[in-house]
Amino acid sequence: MASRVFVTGRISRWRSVFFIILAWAFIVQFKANLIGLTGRAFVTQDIQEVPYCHIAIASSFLNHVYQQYLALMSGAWQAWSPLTWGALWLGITLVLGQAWCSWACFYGGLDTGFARLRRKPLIKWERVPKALRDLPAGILVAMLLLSLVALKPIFCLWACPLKLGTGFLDPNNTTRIIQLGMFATVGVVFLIVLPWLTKKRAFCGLICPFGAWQAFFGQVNPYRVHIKPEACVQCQLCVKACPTFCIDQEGLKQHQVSPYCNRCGECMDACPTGAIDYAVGWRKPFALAPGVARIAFLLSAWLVAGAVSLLFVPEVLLKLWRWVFSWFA
Amino acid sequence: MVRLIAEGWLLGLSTGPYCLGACMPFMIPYLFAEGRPTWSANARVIGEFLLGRFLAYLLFGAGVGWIGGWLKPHLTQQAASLALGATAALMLLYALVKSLPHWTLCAWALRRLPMVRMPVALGFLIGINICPPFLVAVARLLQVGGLTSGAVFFLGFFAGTSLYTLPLLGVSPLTRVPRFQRIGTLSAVLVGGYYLAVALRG
Ligand code: SF4
Ligand code: SF4
Repeated sequence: MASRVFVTGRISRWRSVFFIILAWAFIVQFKANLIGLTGRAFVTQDIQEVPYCHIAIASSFLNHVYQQYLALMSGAWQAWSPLTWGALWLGITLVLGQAWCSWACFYGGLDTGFARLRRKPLIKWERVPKALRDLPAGILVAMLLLSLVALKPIFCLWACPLKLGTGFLDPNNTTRIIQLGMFATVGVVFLIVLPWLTKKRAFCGLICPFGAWQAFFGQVNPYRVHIKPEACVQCQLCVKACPTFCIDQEGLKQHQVSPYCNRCGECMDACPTGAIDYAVGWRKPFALAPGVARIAFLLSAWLVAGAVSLLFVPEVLLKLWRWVFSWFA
Repeated sequence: MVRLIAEGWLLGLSTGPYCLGACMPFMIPYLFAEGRPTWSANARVIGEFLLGRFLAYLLFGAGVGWIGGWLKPHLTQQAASLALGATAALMLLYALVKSLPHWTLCAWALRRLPMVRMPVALGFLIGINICPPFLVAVARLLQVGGLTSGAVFFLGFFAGTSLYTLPLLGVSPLTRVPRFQRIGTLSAVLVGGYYLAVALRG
């Protein structure tokens, strides 16, 4: 797939294929592990800990800081494991920045999959009202504060669709029914229906707190998406193509891309004049030979995303293959 | 008298982080949503907020001291939900009015609500939120008895807990950035909505 991107020059098609496989493989692996652990695919009581992912960690980051403070003070070295996760995240952020959200995140792969089901959107949706443009960041701030006060990961407990099949900390039945309702609503609306109707990645573009987190910390990463003013004819095809609302009419006039951009490459594939491309440089793009920034970015992205996928994709594909084979044998 | 103030102050100091936990989810989004441009303007907001808390403490301190053994802590669960619900509803209203000022209902509310008194109101409502430190203080007050002693004890308690709200001023350099103001308003809506739901469930 990586070679197809280099050969065809079209980034998003092959990235999407890889990304969707990665996401579904993650779900299968997650469920398989759950069955291995508990003997069931849908568990509500046996697992008493919230399984952590990058979204939960980011949105309850202050809790981790607090726990690390307590661990340091009490000399409980075992409680230092979040620091390992922190180091891993730092490495990925330095190499990939926000591109994590379009290359290696399972939620991104899920809404990309549903957004790609239609050739054309049934409902056109090109801009988000100004007041809502920073909704992911608003959700992140609210989650950070609420999680710290409650000493629980609030996003994880109230909004994560993946939780539909896992355990809860809260044994109260009414609470659990409300939680299940929230998970299902968020999942169905933002991961399935809106992406399918509009071809926009509604979960990543509108509500994911990790997207906002990476948009902020990802600024340390030097890769950017840059619109060359001299080549842009203001046709607005990129506005239509961007699945996460990162280019809008106003921004386009100033040739600006939103900091939430997660380097998916859809706009580059849509641009008829080749005005948009990857660039290297924090404030202004460095003057590099044509194509160098693109190759550097794509190599970094495939390296990190490939490494992440190696953790579970081959194993899942092998399991599926064996399973299919056993049907015919 | 000095002993009572010192006792209140020490109790406030030891339970203050809890107060920071209660104020922070409301005050941080509020400070961003307000978007005051200078340190002094933000200090003023925090000052007004503390004034609201002070009024709440004074009222309660005096009231509880006066009523003595009548007010029993077991009434507190409902009172806590009520106070939390009122704080959350006010926060939600403020954030909605702020983010949708052109909506008829919001424009109407904007004209009628004394938005400038918002920090005092928030402080007052958070002040009467019946939290564990507050309960400990009330329990001690029930032993002390007397209007003046009650007010004096709560004065000390207020001073002790207020120290913990000062770090909130640290967000000051960021509050003038329009993007952060928008983020603050959105998070105020979410925090208000969350606590309102929590309060409604009791
Ligand atoms: S698609 Fe390309 S040419 Fe058209 S507006 Fe976007 S950057 Fe400019
Ligand atoms: S601006 Fe381009 S690269 Fe960035 S998210 Fe939108 S389509 Fe993807």
